[in-house]
Amino acid sequence: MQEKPRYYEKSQYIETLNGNKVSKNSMLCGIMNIRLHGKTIIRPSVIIRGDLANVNIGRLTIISEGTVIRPSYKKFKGAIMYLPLNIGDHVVVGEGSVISAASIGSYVQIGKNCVISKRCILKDCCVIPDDTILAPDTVVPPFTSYGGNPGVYQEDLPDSFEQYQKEYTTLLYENFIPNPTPSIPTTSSTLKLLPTQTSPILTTSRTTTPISPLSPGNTSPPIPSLK
Amino acid sequence: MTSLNVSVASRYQNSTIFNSNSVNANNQIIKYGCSCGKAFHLTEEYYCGGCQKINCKYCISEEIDGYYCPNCLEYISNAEAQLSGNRCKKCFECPVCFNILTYSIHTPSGQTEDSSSTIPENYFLNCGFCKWNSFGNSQLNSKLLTILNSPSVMTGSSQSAFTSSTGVSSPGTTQNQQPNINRVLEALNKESTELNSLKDKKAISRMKMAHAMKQFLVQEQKHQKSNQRKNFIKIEDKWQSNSIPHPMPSNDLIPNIINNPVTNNNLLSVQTIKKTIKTPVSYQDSDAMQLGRVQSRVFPEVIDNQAFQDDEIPFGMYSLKDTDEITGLDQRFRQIQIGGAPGGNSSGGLDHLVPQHKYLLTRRSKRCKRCDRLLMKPDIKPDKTEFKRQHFAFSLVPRVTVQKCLWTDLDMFELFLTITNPQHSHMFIYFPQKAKTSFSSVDDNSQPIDILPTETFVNGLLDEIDDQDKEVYIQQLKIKDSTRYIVERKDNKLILRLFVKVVPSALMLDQTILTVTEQSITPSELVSTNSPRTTTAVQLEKYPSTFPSIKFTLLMEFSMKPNQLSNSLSTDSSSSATINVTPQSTATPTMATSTVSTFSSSNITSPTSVPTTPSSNITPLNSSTAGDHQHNTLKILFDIPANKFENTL
Repeated sequence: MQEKPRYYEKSQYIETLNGNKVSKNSMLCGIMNIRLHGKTIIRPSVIIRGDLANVNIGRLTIISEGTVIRPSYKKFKGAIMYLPLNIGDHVVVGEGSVISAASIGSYVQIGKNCVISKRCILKDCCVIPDDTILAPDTVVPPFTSYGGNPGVYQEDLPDSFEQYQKEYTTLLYENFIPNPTPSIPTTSSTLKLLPTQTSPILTTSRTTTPISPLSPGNTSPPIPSLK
Repeated sequence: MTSLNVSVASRYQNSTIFNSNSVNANNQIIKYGCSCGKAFHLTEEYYCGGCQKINCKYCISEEIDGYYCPNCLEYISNAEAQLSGNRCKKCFECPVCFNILTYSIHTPSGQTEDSSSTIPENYFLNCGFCKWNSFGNSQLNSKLLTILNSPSVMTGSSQSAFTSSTGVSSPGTTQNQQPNINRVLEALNKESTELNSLKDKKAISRMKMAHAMKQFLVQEQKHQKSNQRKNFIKIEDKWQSNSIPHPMPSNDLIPNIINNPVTNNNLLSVQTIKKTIKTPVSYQDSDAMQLGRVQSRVFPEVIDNQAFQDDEIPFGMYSLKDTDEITGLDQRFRQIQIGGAPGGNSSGGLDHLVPQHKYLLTRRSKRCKRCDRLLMKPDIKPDKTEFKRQHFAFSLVPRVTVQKCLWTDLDMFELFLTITNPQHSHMFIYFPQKAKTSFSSVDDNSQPIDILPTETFVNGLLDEIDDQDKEVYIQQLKIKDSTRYIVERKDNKLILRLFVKVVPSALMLDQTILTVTEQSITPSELVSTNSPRTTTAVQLEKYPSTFPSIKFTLLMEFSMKPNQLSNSLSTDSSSSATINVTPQSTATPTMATSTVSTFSSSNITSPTSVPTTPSSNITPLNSSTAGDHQHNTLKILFDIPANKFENTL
């Protein structure tokens, strides 16, 4: 059964030239450090903490409602160092998940209400089913499904998962289309403010300008080895 | 039409949880039938280029290319994995929650600077999830720390050093057992490779036959001199020359005699027959048997002070305050050592648990069981997702998805299918019309009755410049596109409409009913609903479904080369004109002839430039012989739950 088209209010979304569709009700902190590579959908009430470290999100990635993307940190000689978070292409993140992995590869499916803990590494072509909690520092190898609480190896994925996921994400993106009947835009889009943080870059206002496709000055520290 | 010897297929549960009902229910709807009669979701199947057929998981043979640790993603060769008992040397698993343990350093509060350099007792294993650690465990603490600090573990020693010196498992058992097991494994591997080297199963069955024949015909064998006979035994003699005991595969051809199964050479001799047939069963015997049956139902009384093994309380269960202290089944299973010595903690508390080395995962290559062709070979590096060879059905076979389905009557619905061409070149599809009934699955309850009668095409992924004659043919097909069946073309997709009728038993459907229903379909209202979006806006009339899920089978042929093109190339233009005439065709006769003329003219001009035309010319009259290796019949099994219909009551 094919995915049904999903309509959205055009007034509620920002569309960039690259084809990114970002909900105005999402919360992108530190927009300078968030980089979307095109054709990415960010649905309402998503929080991306770009103020902590760089967040890179690849092409045709879909981030569903209520997801929190928060770069992880590691203690180094007493000081806390945030690690940049890279998400690959063709990734689908389900609703209500919390992601603070170190890196997520391409062709990854993350289900609903998952917790990807600190410094997890998800390689290409893997699946995290719904309601999984991955313990910190977990490595998910390619073509596997890690599920449960804590997430452990469940099964091997079919070998054609890469092709499957490619088609699935493109279909999801193509079926995410503006509502054909223009309705009155709701003015009650609530402005959400972040709780005050001790982070250097902090955007507290909702911006209507498109997200800058390039982050100025790569100030992130080099990724320390996790061993 | 071509390879129509497809047997009746049945739907199977998808083998992965990923495709199961609970995770991806949509992947249960459409299944592709393998030639062995089983049907799975397309992602779980392969497509063999040699035999041009779909391979399901039962039609492939797997080979382990190498092992890897899921945590450190390190490639481990077969020999190395065997040595360490298929476990990673470095990575440990939490005994409580099976999460990966991390090495942690504990610096005692007293000394700070010099402790890390001099005193080595500060490493311990720590679980980041359940907070289990080897540090707090009083019983293991001192021993664990010394082992962990010993260079053997940190550089990766075998498991035996770890378990034996912790004193949890009886020392030495694993050390002694491991070489033994390795020896057995080695012998088994050798045998399996030799058996595999025989390649064809015919040889094995011949061997079995020879073995059985030898049992029966020992006396005659001495006098027999035929060469054929010698050939039979030759294969078997191969084993006798070896030092390895005969690895005879289980042989059904030899009757199983209880007393001496293989050693007795003449099964048909009087003595053996006497031995096998014992004294005949008397009335007393049968009576005694009856009595025994009755008595077996009477249970013996339980004597109060007699303790059974199951009732024994292994440890102070009554003194336990928290039931969480008892180990679960999973935890106990993981503690089982190779030597069968569970270390006395098989039923103990949590504090007895010892971290285990992580089990390795495998990278496997897959072969076709029919022709032994390599279907899939992964990259040897564990973190790579590329393949050295990939013949996935998903990227070779036209993919079919249900766009939507609508009831048009109580027992009829229209189905919109999206057919995706995964390849770069054009794909030609055709739905064989004849003998519809004989290919349906056993549990089908409905049947497609009105499908596109002619061949059509699906565009490739990129619009590549194709053969010129093919291009012309595609133009010809485009004209023939009837709105009744073809809803939309977009990129490499084609949306097709077809009608399915619900029948109690699809196998019993009469051809006469078919013709009646085809007439009863009113195309006028259908053509108006051209775009799928307009139909959704209209309030639909609702129908109740007679079945909880609608099951039917669709046969589809696909090929890279148009079937009718090769036909028309070989024969004269009159035959291609007859192909043009279809019942629903909107093309006027003049248009049909014009297309034919352009077609034939291109045929005259192009043959030197087009390399494919000679091959199609080789098979002049009968295209079915050429079609046998070009056209592939797919059997697509649908299982649509009634709630997926847009207008189910």
